[in-house]
Amino acid sequence: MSEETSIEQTGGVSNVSNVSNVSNVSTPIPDPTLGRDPVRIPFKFHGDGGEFFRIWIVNIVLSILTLGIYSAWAKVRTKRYFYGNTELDGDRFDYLGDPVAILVGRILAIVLLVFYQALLGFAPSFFSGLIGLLFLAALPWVIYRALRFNAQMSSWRGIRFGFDGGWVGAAKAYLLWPLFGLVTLGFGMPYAWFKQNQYLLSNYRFGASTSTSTTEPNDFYLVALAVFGFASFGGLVLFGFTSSLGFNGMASDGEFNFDALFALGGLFAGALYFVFYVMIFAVYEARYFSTVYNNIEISGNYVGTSVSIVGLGRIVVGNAVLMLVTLGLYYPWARVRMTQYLQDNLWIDAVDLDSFVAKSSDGNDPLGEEIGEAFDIGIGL
Amino acid sequence: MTVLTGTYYDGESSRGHAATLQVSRLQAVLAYADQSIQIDPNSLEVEAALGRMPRKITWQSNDFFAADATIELDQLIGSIGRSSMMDWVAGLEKRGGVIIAATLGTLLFILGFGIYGVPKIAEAAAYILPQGFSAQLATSTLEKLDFGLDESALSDERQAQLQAYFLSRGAVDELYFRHAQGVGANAFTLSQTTVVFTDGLVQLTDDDDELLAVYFHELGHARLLHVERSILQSVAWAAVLTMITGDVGGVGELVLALPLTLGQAAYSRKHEREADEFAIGELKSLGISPLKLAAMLDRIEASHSFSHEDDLSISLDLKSTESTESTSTGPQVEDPANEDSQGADVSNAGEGLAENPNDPKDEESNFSRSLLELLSSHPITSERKAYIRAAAKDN
Repeated sequence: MSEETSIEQTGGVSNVSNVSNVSNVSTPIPDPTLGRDPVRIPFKFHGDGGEFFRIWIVNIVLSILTLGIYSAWAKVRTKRYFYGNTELDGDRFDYLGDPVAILVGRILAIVLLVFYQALLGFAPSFFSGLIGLLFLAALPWVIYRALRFNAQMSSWRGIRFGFDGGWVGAAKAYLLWPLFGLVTLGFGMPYAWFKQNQYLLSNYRFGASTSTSTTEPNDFYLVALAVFGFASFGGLVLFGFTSSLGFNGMASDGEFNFDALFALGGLFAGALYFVFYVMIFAVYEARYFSTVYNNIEISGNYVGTSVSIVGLGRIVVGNAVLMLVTLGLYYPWARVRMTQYLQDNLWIDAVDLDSFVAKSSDGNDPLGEEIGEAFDIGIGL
Repeated sequence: MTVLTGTYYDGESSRGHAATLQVSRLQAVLAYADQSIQIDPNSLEVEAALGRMPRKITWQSNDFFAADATIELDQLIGSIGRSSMMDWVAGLEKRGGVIIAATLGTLLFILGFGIYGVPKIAEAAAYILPQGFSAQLATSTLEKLDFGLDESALSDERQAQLQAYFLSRGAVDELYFRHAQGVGANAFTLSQTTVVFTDGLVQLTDDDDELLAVYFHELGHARLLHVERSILQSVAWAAVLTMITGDVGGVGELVLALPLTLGQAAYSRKHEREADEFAIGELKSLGISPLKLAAMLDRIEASHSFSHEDDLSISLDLKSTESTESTSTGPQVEDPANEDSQGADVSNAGEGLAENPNDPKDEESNFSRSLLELLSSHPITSERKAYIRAAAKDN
């Protein structure tokens, strides 16, 4: 999840909650941040594609050589690289996940997955339905634990993030509302996005301070409208264009030119469709990102972003083409470029980032996250 | 005495303080603002390097010091003399030779795995799949195909006669006839349970043995579980790449699907060959000449050369469904576009991917031919015919 992860990462980053109202019991001085003008503090990313390539390729080789065991260490190393190179107000973020714990979680997840598949394969259909339902019921718990683990393993200035949403909230946000979206033939889906975003952002906290989101359902309907509009209008134009192109190829008279023209025309059309598909993704990603990150409010501190469709599209299309050409070897640069772009366009209008206080942390639980990962649940903002 | 610069975090409030850490054999002193902290130098632990990031120094306490990556830091680590596994990994990352070897090794591994490992795994898995999976697969694919297909215009007697003739010589669970505007002469295997013939194909010849030859080719796909194997191959490929790269999603997934697509085309060509072999074997055992299959390929080719325009619009259609369908994550198990190409048919020769046998020496044609071959799910038709003719002579 190259892009997703980087967003998820900055997601962790920007759930900075507020602090201005944390009243200090021992000193009854009025809140010093009241009425203070916010200062715009940008995120800075220090990662480098070449540097990350080295880390990435060594991770891959060690993962292959150890039959996957090393992948837990690889994951921590990658996350630490991106967190540790993200700077806000002079200080960097940190990822504190323990590889051994992640490995245990990963093994458990695989055992469960095999168990689940085996049951599905051998159980009579009645039981497989039942198992499916049980599995569906367990999903929200897994999602919630994964969110919590990831938040707790993220820190800034030595203070950890946290996530307080329960599994009931996850069940509503990730099962009930999407179901509502399906039942309404997709018309309710943006509302489901809205609910998911509410679930995430009213439960993330930095230290003892909880974040809030000021989004409204309409904001997400606008995201859907942008994606739908681009996909249908662009698709129509593209289809018309490639069709005419194809017929031109047909009209060529030379017998042997026919194949070459046809092949090249087909390739060209394929390339256009590829770019088009990638751009749909970029439109969605840019609009969704802006919607979420321009609305994070932390009693005084506001997150803001200038991520745009054109800006993000340029990065995403460039990355996709270069990854194709290099057979995927461009991936580390692509991921760094993407993160760089997002962070260059992300800031906090801060009234006070200095007086956050830590909250005594709950126990670590990589199990939830790893189970979530093995079942390929997209988690993140 | 080593002096390190960096930032000190007290672990309680969020602000970092510019600080220095002086380390000697006997003591370590951390100084920031107007304060200083005494630390037992033996308890110091320096985390392994990660790029050029500041490195955290801890001493079994909630507070820590993030040291700028400097030469002094490297010296300190040398003098402490403790080295973790991660220090070793960081060492690997710094060596150019290791990086080059790792890159080449990874490419070779993925190539080798793609060529040998994935088909083997998929084959083994296909044979332990429950029968219900194949039936379900065929049903859902046919439902989707039926959006573009009409009911057969063949008479009921003709359908029943062909059904009886084909199935008595090699059974599948379901054999359907469909009228397909634009697809022309074609036959599909949807899974081990189901084969579909188009009216256009049936009307192409009066010789039922020629149709039987095509049926045997499809039966070969069905018996050898080619559709099931193709699907499992994409699953296996996706699983392995996900394990290797850690997390892939969005556009990354799309890009990783490209070698898969090319790989699928190669697997698929192999499957065509196997299905031809199967058909030849069956025909011979019935005393029918394998040349019937070659003759049918000729007819199909001829029929398609008149209708290239139709075929173009179809292949574009398929492409567009493919690109929207693959937006969801993970391998597509029930993608009609995929199934259609994997689902393997005798007659894709007309899909515009046909070779031009008349001028093999032309360079441009050679280029486009190898390009086509790379992308094509079928071996070149002339080669197939040559192969079938050679097999026919073997009698």
